[in-house]
Amino acid sequence: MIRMDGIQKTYRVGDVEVPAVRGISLRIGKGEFVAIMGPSGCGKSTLMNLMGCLDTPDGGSYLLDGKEVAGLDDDALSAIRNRKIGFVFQSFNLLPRATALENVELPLIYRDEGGIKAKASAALASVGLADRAHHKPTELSGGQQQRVAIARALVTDPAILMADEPTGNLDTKASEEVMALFRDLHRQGRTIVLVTHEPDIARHAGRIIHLKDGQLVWESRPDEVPDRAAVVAGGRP
Amino acid sequence: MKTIGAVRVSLKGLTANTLRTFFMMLGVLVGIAALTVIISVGQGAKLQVMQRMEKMGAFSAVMVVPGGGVTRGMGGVDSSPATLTAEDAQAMRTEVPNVTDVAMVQIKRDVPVKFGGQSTTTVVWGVTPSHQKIRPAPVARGEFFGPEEQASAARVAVLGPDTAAALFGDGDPLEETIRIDNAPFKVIGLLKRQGASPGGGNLDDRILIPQSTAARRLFNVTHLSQLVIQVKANGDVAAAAERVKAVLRERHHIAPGMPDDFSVRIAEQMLGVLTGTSQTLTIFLSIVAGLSLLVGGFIVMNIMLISVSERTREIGLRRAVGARRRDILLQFVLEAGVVTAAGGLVGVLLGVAGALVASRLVGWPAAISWPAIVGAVFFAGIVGLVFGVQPARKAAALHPVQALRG
Repeated sequence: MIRMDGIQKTYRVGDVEVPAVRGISLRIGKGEFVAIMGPSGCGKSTLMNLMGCLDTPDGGSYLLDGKEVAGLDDDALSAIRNRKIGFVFQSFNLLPRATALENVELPLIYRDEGGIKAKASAALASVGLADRAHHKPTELSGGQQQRVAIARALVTDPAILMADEPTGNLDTKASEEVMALFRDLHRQGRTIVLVTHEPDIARHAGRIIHLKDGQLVWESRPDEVPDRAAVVAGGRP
Repeated sequence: MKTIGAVRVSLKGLTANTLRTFFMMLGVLVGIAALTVIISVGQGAKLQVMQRMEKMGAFSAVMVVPGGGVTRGMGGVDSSPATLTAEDAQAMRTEVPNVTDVAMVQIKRDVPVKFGGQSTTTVVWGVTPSHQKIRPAPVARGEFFGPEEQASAARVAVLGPDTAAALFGDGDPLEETIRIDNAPFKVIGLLKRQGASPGGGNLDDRILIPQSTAARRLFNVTHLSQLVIQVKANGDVAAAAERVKAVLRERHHIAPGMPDDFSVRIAEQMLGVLTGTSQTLTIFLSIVAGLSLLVGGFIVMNIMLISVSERTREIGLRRAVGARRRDILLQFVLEAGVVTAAGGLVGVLLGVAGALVASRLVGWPAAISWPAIVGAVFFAGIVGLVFGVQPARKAAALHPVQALRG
């Protein structure tokens, strides 16, 4: 599903070049649930943006679903984001004045397709929020808001679901709810890539990729995940 | 993305912040409303002058007044040169083709008039009976004088309603004897209310008497203050005017190259003189209103720029879920266009209401020009599109990753 070879990304801050991703190569198979871990500043968000086609790499090759996307222009990348990728963000990013249903409809209005309402309602039902369709985000709990965001990511039936710290703004109970939802989606065959610095969250994944200083340092199974202190230090146990 | 979808997205954006939308609308609303009032009232003024002239049969008449220069309104017999005579009038009948009637007019202003203890001053018109055919002054009660009274220089008078009210109050003036400049006249008729003349004079405050009576018994002058020549309804008025000019120059022995000692006027020229000022004013005010529309455009642009920077995250999200740059561009341009077109529409409605109120206040007909109104709404939308482009380009240029960070 995802095949990256020697992917590089460098940011320019004034005259200083800051290498954020330094030659990462990785594979993610169809139906896998992968977590990307690492201390802040390790380049995991940059990698996520590159994987999600929100940003373009400076070097290397990226095959998404068998197609090279590294050299594509903005319109083509927009189309890929719309068709193949569903994003879930830490801060939900719901439109505050729109209802839950309207928020879920959003990706579909950028397609020339009918049946928008029906698809959005189905997606909302699949995250267990059919009865909250006409509520505004402010009328929903944090966990409910993130489930609306997940429904929005699912409504286009994307090849990959990408979640960037999806539980970062949630309490423990809501976090568990959201992670249970991700597990269900994984069981249904979704490919999921999750970025987090929380070991407890990362353990839900089938495979964990550890980054440090813009490089892939280690891959582990969930039972090998180090404790929190070690992760923050960025080393192997 | 389908256009309908784009419009829906834009409308969502607008209803999300109604106060901001309101201010954006206000920006163009004021300019468009002002423009509508100005154009409607300006057109109304022109329409009114034309209506008055039509009512007076002016479009098939040639008017000659003494003196060379172009003077507005009507000079009295005591203030205008003594160059037009009854013989000139007679010559018009015989030497100008297509003439149906010729009327002689002698006018004197500020003539004292008395009845019993009441006195006033008014304008006295000595007119030949043919004047009634060319420029009818409808009689409400009694009758107008005819050829007999003209032939015998009878002391009879027809009063305008304002003059009658000044002398008689609520009493009945018919058959009463009034004193015009101390000479007794019998009131034989009362005019209907006519309002203002094309030149703006009050046609309701005047006394009409036979022209012969005016010349011999009241003003003691033979020269005329107006000569009105009626041309056949489908005749060539301009050609007749040229002929009138030629005949008069010959009769007045004016050498070639010397200026006329009279002025010939036809309706088209008078229309130009009478509407010229109001037209200039209309154009000037329209420019001012247009400038206010321009200012409105800048207001729209600024509010849109604020809106774009406030909605950075929203733009980032839309980009993340698949909106292309041009979708974002279209969304913000349409937002500005829809708001300003709506502002224009409301502005037009207010402007039309304002024009109707104004026309009632000043007594002009309001000429609501619907093509101009459609144009105004369209123009307002264009203002929005033009001034919306810059903020929309800014929004579309945002990088998705940076935009998502807010």
